[in-house]
Amino acid sequence: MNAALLLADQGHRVYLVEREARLGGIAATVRTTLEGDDVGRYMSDLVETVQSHQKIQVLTQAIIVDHKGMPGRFTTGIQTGPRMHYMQVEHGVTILATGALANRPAQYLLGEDDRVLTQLDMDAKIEDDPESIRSMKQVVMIQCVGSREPGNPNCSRICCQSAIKNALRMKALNPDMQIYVLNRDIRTYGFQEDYYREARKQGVQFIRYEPDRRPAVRALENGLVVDAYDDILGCRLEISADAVVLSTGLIADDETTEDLSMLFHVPRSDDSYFLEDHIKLRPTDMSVRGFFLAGTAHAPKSIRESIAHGQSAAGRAMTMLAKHWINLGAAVARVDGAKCAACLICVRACPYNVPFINAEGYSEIDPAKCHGCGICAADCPARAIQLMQYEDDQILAKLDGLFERMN
Amino acid sequence: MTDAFEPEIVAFCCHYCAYTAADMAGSKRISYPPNVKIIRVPCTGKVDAIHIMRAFEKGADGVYVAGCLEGDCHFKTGNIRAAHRVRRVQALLEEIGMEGGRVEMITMSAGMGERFAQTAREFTEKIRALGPSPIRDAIRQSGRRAAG
Amino acid sequence: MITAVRKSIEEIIACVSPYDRILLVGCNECVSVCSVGGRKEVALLSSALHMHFLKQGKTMDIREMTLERQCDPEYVEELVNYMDGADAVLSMACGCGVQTIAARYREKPVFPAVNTTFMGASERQGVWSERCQGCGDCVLGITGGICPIARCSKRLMNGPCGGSTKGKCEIDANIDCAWQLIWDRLKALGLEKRIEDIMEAKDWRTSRDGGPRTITREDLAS
Repeated sequence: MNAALLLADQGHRVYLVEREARLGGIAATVRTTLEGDDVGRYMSDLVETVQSHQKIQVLTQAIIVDHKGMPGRFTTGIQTGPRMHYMQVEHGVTILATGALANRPAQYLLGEDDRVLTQLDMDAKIEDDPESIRSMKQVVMIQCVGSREPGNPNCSRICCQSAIKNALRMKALNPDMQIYVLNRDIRTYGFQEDYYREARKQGVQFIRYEPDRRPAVRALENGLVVDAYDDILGCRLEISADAVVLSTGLIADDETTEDLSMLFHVPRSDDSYFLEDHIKLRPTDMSVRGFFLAGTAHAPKSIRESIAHGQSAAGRAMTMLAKHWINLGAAVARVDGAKCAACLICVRACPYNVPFINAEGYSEIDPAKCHGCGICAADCPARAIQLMQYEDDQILAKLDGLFERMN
Repeated sequence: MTDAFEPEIVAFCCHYCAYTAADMAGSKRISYPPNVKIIRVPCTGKVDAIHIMRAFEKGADGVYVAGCLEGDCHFKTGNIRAAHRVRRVQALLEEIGMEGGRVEMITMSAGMGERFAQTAREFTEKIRALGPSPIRDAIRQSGRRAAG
Repeated sequence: MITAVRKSIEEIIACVSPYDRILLVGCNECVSVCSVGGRKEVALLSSALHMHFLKQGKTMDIREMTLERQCDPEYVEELVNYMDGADAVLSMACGCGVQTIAARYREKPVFPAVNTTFMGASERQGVWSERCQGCGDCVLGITGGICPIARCSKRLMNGPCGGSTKGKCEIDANIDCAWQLIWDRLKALGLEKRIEDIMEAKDWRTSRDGGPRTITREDLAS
């Protein structure tokens, strides 16, 4: 939405394609950030600005069904609305901001006992039902639930800060409450460290556990009991709790990213997030020209980071949109008419049906249509086709370079 | 010569999957054998049978073509065509009495840094077990003859 | 188009191994189109031979040349400057090309690297099938555009025979019965009565039976 707004404010028409009936994703359910920002108000303002923007068309309950074209001139088919009305949109760039999912693994009695919550649940509970927080005496938080383990090896990045955010808010409501945070290590990076220190000052207990000695949660009639092993004291602890809050973090929306990566031919990482072109040099661009990434579709991020990523995507997209001409590079196939035997092999082999036999009787490849895969060049029986930037001579020269010291 | 055999391996990697996977292996600090030398191509569909043959001619002990997973090719069918060509080169090598297994088609997605490293290790070990390419030895011999 | 398949490398090696310098000649016509003797295949064969002999401790000098058309003397003349540097010629063209080279350069042994197979059409990428046997007396006009000589295993002029089963030939269930195809086609054209016309015994003198054939165009010949 931030990327859309930035681009629209600069005069570009934006189609915002949302799978759900409303905008906002997970952020719309978050109430506050660690720094105390009012996320609810921010989101409702943002959604309203986006929806009422003259240059933005919001398509809700929409799915992408087909896609073709080239950078600067894509055509995407979208089915939208309750009646799945089909429409085609022509667009110059694509920003993928499909988000991630709030993880809810069935661990530590989550889903079985309603006294076991996620940080996201607790975030809402503090706001909606402060009385219940005031009545609690002890709360245990468990970090890294469903993260940093086989299946989801990532650190979800946001859990430590949401734990400390909720701990501080609970302490504010009920200063006598005892809070234990069972963690593998606390990753409150940057200035978030101040909040961690504040939490410690207020008496929140941080206890480390090792993945091979995980805590366990037992449900009793009159409360929950968490069994944990404290590495520093070297002894087992039994903590009774009125509530257990699990820091479950984010997981990639595997189904969505898989569908879209097939449609758009864009790569995904091992853990099903979309993959940037280069982790340091091009963190917002994708390997396919004209595709950009924003937010948690790329990796777990906080709301602030997602907004920054969205702004970055808009900035990168502008570099393409601002131009009247786009240079798509020179890696296109070129035919040497004198060598061509007009055998039709390139015509049949091209995945995009670009080559044709021209009036002079040899194969012709329109450089504006060529995608530069080089399949024709490798199949040409007359060696009449060269892919610029990857010519036979260049590849052979590389081989020469590799074997120079041997021969 | 007493030095141990270190295979020389050329990997033709497509820009969209295998090459990015190699990058991923790098950023994840996963190491893979230095025997593998990468040549980037836009798509494995660009890898000509002649390029593979020339690599052997110049002394490669093994060559592999690493592309996208089947169905994931950025250019639709490039990896499938590449797999056909690899099979053809295997047959050609066998016709001249070399092991067809010295050339292989491997597929992976861009995110599979671990797979890139693992296949690089496996292929290197496979070639190590096959021993030096007879061509490489012959090149050395003829070079020595010429020098001597 | 004339189609061909490459000979086994083993057979090619047996021909060229007595020599040190080979002129490997491709052709940019039919054999390029059927991907057996164009520049690409010349380079691949050259590479394979080079490696084979290197393994034997021999550095074979192979020069690659691909002519526009090997069955025309003018194009074959282009090889003249390279002949001195070659002990033998290996041709990747059809038999016509091999013989044109052999006729021009009588002092050099010429070897074929491919087996010329048939006159065929391309069904799709990578698949060719026989369509014509050059009988010299075309009957396609009365057989609905399907040749019984090239496509019937028995070359029957009045088919089908008893071996035609469900439209397939008894020789191979993958081969269509040419006479079934002819019947279907004539029916579609509304000419099915024609199948009852008996074709007279064919005069094969226009074909190979009349001995090697030549065509002389008085208006063109000089």
